[in-house]
Formats: sequence, structure tokens, C-alpha cells
Amino acid sequence: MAARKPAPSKIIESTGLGIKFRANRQRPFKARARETFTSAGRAAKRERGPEEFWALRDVSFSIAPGEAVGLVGANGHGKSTLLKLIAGVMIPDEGVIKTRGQVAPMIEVTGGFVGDLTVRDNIWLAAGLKGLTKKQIARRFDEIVEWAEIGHRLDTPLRHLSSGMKAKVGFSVITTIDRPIVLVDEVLSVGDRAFRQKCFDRMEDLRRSGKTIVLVSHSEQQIERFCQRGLYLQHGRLIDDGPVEDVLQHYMDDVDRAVGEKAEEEREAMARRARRAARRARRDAEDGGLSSTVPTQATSKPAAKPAAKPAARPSLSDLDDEPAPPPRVEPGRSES
Amino acid sequence: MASLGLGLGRYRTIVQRRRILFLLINRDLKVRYSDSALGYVWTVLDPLMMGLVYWFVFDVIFNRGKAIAGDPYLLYLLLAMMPWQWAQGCIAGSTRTLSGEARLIRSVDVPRELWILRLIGSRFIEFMFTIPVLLIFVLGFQQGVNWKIVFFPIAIGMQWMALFGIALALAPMAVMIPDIERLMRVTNRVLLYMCPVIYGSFAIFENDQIPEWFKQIYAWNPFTTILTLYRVGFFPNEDMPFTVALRGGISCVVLLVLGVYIFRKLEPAVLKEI
Repeated sequence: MAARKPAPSKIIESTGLGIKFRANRQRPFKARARETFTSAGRAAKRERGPEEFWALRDVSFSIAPGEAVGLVGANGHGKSTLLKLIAGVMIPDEGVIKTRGQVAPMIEVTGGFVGDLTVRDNIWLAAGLKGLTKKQIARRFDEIVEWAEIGHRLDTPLRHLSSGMKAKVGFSVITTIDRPIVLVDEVLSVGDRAFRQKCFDRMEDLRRSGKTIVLVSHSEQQIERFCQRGLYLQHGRLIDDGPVEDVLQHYMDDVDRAVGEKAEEEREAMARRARRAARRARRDAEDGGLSSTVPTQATSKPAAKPAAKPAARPSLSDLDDEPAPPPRVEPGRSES
Repeated sequence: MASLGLGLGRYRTIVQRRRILFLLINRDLKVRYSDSALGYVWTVLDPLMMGLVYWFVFDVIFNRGKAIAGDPYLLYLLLAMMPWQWAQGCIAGSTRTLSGEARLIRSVDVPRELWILRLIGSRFIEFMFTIPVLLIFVLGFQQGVNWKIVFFPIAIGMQWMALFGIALALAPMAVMIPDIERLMRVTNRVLLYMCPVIYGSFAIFENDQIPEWFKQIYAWNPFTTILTLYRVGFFPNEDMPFTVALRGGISCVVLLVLGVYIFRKLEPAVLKEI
């Protein structure tokens, strides 16, 4: 696909890329003063752990011209940050990221717009900000307007447009500027159905014309549809890099496992609560007092005998006054 | 590297991408003038009204115009008010310029110094717009012009250096420490009186009641030199001692280098913050 150009084998190259952020930067002055000047505060600060965390670390990969790469990973694991580093709008703390050729970042497509200016002025402005000359803009202006279907409102102030229409204009400008590298961050999820479809088609066109695409999306179908290759980021580390199906499978397995573990944890917690409630019930029964929490049992028999039974019949919460009916399965034991 | 750690290679990129700079300045002016009926008049009206107020207070009521400034006082005043408005706009604006355009900065990959240049540039154009008004006053008062008018463009150049340095330092600092914005608002008001705007610099240097140490500080203030240089071409008696001018020049260079350095140091953190 990329063979058309005699281009270098790598268009994006990242080596040992890392960027760190500071946690708790905007803490109130009083809290910060306490942490600095009192020993208790300092201890609390030590306990809280490092103030910095690495949003990305040791990320190395290279992308060949014409490749379409999807970034996969959960929220907050560094996908958008990586995209910003590729776009050059953030500066890494470690490592290098090199791009050959200019980048069209679809990160904030409406970022350059001014509400008070007309749609026409804004198109000129946004295209100019991406580095197009007047001649180039003039040549592409009609194409931009036509794709955005905005011809009838060219001279209204931009702020009168709906947010979906603004996004459309922004998307139209950025996909018309013809850069070898295209970065896409979730823009395909805004707008109505027809617009999304249009965006898809446009993206397909870009890919077919040999552009290098890096895509961030939470839609597995989108990634699978556009990309041949996936990069899987977890806690800022690049843990998988390969064919998109494999990487997506890896990611989804991880998600399933995480969900499973969480469910398991919840089940265990529930069982613990149940056992605690049962113990309390038994203690109450042994005391011989009339426990108000288990009235039916307490009234039925004040002896120690039924105490064994509630242990096997946990109530699901402390508020749950009624004893569970016998046939109910005990949640905590269902798997063991 | 030959860039001395100041990242001077970036300034070459800015020169290459100057079209974006002009576009942004153009946008600023368009925005400023598109939503108001009087547009250009406001640019001139503000310093003009303030000039009239100071003239009324100091020349008419106190009758001190000749003691603290040149004659005619109103012209003397406006020659500094107009560039001072440029300076104040830049100092106040620099504390908001990065956070105010966060969305744009996050999406366009240009050397970030460009955003600062754009602020100073658009304010500079507005200052240029006020020059015809100054000329009208020069003609109206039938004020002669002497050879020292050559210092007028030199003053502009020095002011560019000083303002660029100041704004480069203030803009990223204001992102990290929000209080800077308020601090600069106060500072701006104080600076109006600490610079020779409503009086001439001689009113400080030739005043025996003012202690020597203050005069020293005053001489190092780049605006002492800059604002006086705007006046010397029109007021032959206006004195610009070489020792003061030299210090003003040194201050401008120091401010510029310091600003470039601070901006480079804080840039990565600022990009994470906005």
C-alpha cells in the first residue's frame, strides 16, 4: 500500500518515550503547608507515595508509512497522551519521538475556531493555522465547504452553529489539508449517525490514499475496521504490539479477567459480610437475648441449637432483617 | 550546541512559519474590531481620555506641567501614553495568553513562543494605529521635530525586546501560579507611576528629595530609557543621559535572554498543565 512513495521505512519512531505528571498539584495551600512544615504532615505525605506518576514509560515502536495503527487500552492508560506526543503538542520527559512529514492532528478539531468570526473566516483561519498558504486554501475551500455541507451558512458567525456542525467543519478542514500523518482521537464518536458515516468514509479515503493513521477509539469495531496493527497501552507501558485482532483479543481478555476478578472480589466481600452477620446472630442467640435483628429465629427457639443454622444462611446485608429462605444458594461458596 | 541552551533553533522555525503569526495577529485585530461599532476609535480613545484626565489634573489644576514635563504637557503625555498602553496590554495579556488559548495550543504544533509574539505583535499594531493621532497632535501644537527623531524607531525596537522578554517569562509562570495574574494587575498600576509616563524622567533624576538608591533603580528600568527616547525627537530640552540609556539597553537584553530561558525551562510543564 505504501509502496507508492519512495519514503523511509519509518514515518513515526519512538524510543524509550516517557512522560510524567504530578499528582495532587492543585492541592490547597493549607494542605501543602502542613505537609511541608509539620512532621505529621510529612509522614502523611510519605505514606501517600510519590507525587509523580509516569503516564507513559519506555514506549518504543516505529510505524511505517501507510500503516493504520490503533491505540488500545483502558481510560487513563496513556493513549491520548501518546497521541499528543506524536502531534508535538506535548514534550516528553524521557526518550525521543520523531516524525517525518507533517502531522494532521484530529485532536481538538474545533480548537482554532473563534465564535465571533464567520464560518468563512474560520475556515481560512483554521486551514492557515495548519500551515496552508493562501493559494492552497483557496484551491481547497470549496471542497471543505461542500464536505461540511455548510455552504448556505458561510457568512453567519460560527457561534450560531450547533456543536455538531462545528465539529463537521473542523473535521472537514483537517482532513482536507493533506498531511502524510493523521492522528485521530475519538472524533468519530461525535455528531449524528449520518455524520459518523461520512467521517468513516473520509477516513477510508485517507487510508486508501496511503496516509499513515494513528487512531484512538473505544470502539473495537472502529479499530478493527480501520487498523491493521494495534498498540496496547497499560499503565503507560506498551505491553503488546502486533496485528490488530491479536492485540484487541489480548486487551479484551485482560478486561474480562479484570472484570472477573472484580466480581470475585465482590462475591468474597459479600460472603464475608454474610459470615459476620451469621456470627452476630449466633452470638445473640447464645446470649439468650431476644435479638431484634433475627426476630423469627429468636422467637422460635432461644436455645443454642438453631445457631448453627444461620451460619449457613447468611443475610445479604446488615439491613436485611429477614433470614434468607433455606433453598437460597450461599453466594460465597458457589464457586469453591 | 550553538543554541546556548536557549533553543534558538526554534526561532528559525518561527521565522519559517511567520505566516501563522501574521494570521493570528490578523485574527486578533479582526476579533477586536468585528464586534464593536466604533472599532478603531476605542484603541485611540482609551489613552486619549486618560491623557486628558492627567493633563487636567496635573497641568490645569496643580499647574505643575512645566515643572514635571515638557511643554505642551498634553503632547508630552500622549507620546508616552500610547506606547505605555502597548506595554500594559502585553504585561496584563501575557498572564492570560497561554491559558486563554489552551485549546488552540493543545491542537497546533508550532513553537510555543509564537503565542507570545502574537500577543506583542497585535498590541504593537494597535500602537501603530495610534501614531496618526500623535501626528495630529504634533501638527496641532505646531511642535517642531529635531534629528533625535531617529530614536523613535530605536525605542520601538527596545520596547519589543523588553516586552518579549517580560511576556516570555510571565506567561508560563502565570499558568503554574495563577496568582501572578492578579499580581501583575497591581504591578501594572504601580508601574504607571514608576515609569516616566505622566512626568519626565528628569523629574526623578533632578529631584534632590529622592534618594540616590532609588535613582539608581530607576535608571535600570528599561522603560525609563524607552519612554524618554520617544520624546526626545519632539522636545529638544528632553535630556537622555548616556549612562541611563546604556543601563536601559542592558536591561532590555537581560530581560530578553532571561525570558527566553524561563520559557524554555517551563514549557514542558505548561503543556501538561493547560
